[in-house]
Amino acid sequence: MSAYARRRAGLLPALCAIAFASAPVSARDFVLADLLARAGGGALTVDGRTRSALYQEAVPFDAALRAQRARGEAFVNTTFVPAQASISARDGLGPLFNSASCVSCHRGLRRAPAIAGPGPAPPSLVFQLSARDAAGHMGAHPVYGAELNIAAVPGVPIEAAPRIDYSAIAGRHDDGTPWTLRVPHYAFERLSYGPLDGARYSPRIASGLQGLGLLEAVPAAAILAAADPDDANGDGISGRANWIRDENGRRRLGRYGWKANHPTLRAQTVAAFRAEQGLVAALPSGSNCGARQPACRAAAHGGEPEIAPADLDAVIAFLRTLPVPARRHLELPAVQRGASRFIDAGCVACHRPMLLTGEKAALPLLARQRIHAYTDLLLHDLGSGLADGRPDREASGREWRTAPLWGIGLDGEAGATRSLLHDGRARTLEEAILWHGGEADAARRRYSHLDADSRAELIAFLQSL
Amino acid sequence: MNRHYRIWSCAALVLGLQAAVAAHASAATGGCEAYTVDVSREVAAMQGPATELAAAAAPAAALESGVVYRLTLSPQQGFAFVAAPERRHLDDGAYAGLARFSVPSAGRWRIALSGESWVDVVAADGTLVSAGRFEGRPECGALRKWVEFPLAPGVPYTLQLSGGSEAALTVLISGPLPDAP
Repeated sequence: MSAYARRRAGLLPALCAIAFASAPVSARDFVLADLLARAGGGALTVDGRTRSALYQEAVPFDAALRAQRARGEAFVNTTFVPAQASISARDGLGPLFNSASCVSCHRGLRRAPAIAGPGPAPPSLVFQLSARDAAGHMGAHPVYGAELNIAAVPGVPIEAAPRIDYSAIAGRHDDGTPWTLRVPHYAFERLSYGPLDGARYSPRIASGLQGLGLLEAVPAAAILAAADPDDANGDGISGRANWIRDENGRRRLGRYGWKANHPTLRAQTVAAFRAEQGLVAALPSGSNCGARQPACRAAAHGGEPEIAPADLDAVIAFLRTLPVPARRHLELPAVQRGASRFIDAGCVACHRPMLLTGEKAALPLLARQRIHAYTDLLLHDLGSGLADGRPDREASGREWRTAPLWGIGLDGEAGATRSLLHDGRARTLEEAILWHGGEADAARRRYSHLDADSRAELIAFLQSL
Repeated sequence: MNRHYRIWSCAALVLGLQAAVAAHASAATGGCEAYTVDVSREVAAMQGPATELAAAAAPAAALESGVVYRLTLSPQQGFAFVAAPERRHLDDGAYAGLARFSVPSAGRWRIALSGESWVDVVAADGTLVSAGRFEGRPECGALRKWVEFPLAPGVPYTLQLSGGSEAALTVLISGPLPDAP
């Protein structure tokens, strides 16, 4: 029996239940079985109901990996401080930064908490920047760099204090039930280094960190097999890869970030250390001080690099082995019916219910896993409502990577206010659905066409993820 | 110095002092309104006088609920915790501390801190009490974070602080809180 067949065999109980209800077994039944699989992260699945859930060891790691993870976890949890003579590992914060620790935004390693309302933007909502140079190429802003920093070490002016205000748009489902969405509007106060002339910005909220290593272990070929950039099959869904040139000039498939703008966990981690904490984690990434930020350039640094290579490896080992929360409430009929609604609405076209990791992976425990991340890791046009108007590598200003949905039910209790979508504008799962446009507009309309009970079932299904 | 000059000098000094006090208060409370629960009483209390205590490795210091303390912490390197902290932090440059406390009635109790630190509550048998809700606001100078714990009356608990970046913290234990919404 092949490895693939063995993984299929793991679905037998669910398939048998379905077969008893409606023989013969169809392709839809296989999809349904995936939608109702309890172990979303394969062997890296854990009970996700506690605040420390994502810190658990999903499987017994060997002593070397356990020690490396412990070191990496300490870096992720630690609040960094500005460069000091008497401290070595935890200094080097800034000079410009957004947060002093990873977990101040990725709390409990999960998605950032809800943005309560109008006011100062929280540190967990960052603003990536770009501008067109004289030759017409998009790149980092010439003064403010690739990201606005809202904090700085003493003696260095912050870059800006972003503020959010919201307006409302209202509509109705087909059955007349009203809904309201909040539309964010941003202003940048206290700009310390001059106006943001010509800048394009993209607000991005901190994502949950579950299952990062598993996403890296999905073969590029399996991701690209689902791409349909010209919509050759005419289903209205395209799906494009974002290609990134790495430091060696090689073209790599983007997987991480709201626009799949980083190809590897290492690239994503180095970029986050640099942009969010001002920590140089690998050379030659360099500091995040711009040419016209003399106080920033003159400030002390915490070493070159500030995160030692072995420590960066430890952080990546920790992130790579983060587990995935197990599904909950699968026994509820509403959740089971919600899975069918998820198929019928067409959500599965982009939020793929199942991916297989490759035969080889960075760690053996990540290989040959059947995972339920609910993403295709591809870019899709989600319409003008969500567009940021800022191209990112090969992603257009309307395209976003299909957001993985695993763990989304644990980011807030049913009915709780959340921070969904790339900028946290959606306060509920329904609001997030209603913002879908472009390629996902048909799915949104199908959702709005459902009666209230059916909509609640689809939401109950999402809440079980 | 003529009389008019003295009056204007005095008025300017008073206004300047008022402005300085207002600016200090604003810096301490600015951003605290962003908390999703009402912590105004805690913020006000933590801006007032505090009892100085050393939160040494042996948990000799005893805290009373409703009293604001300024705890002096110890370097974490080599610190003897009563239980492994629920989160690991780099020892390098970090501060830790222990203090005993108990509460008079059952319910959710809120532990508020003025600065960065990981908070564990350790029961007498060495197990960690599972925390409930928590929230942090770096922009709130007086109250950096709060964590809620379900506690039983008369039980000896240890407040265990770890991974902090400051050598002293203001701490307030308050409760019991009304039932969560």
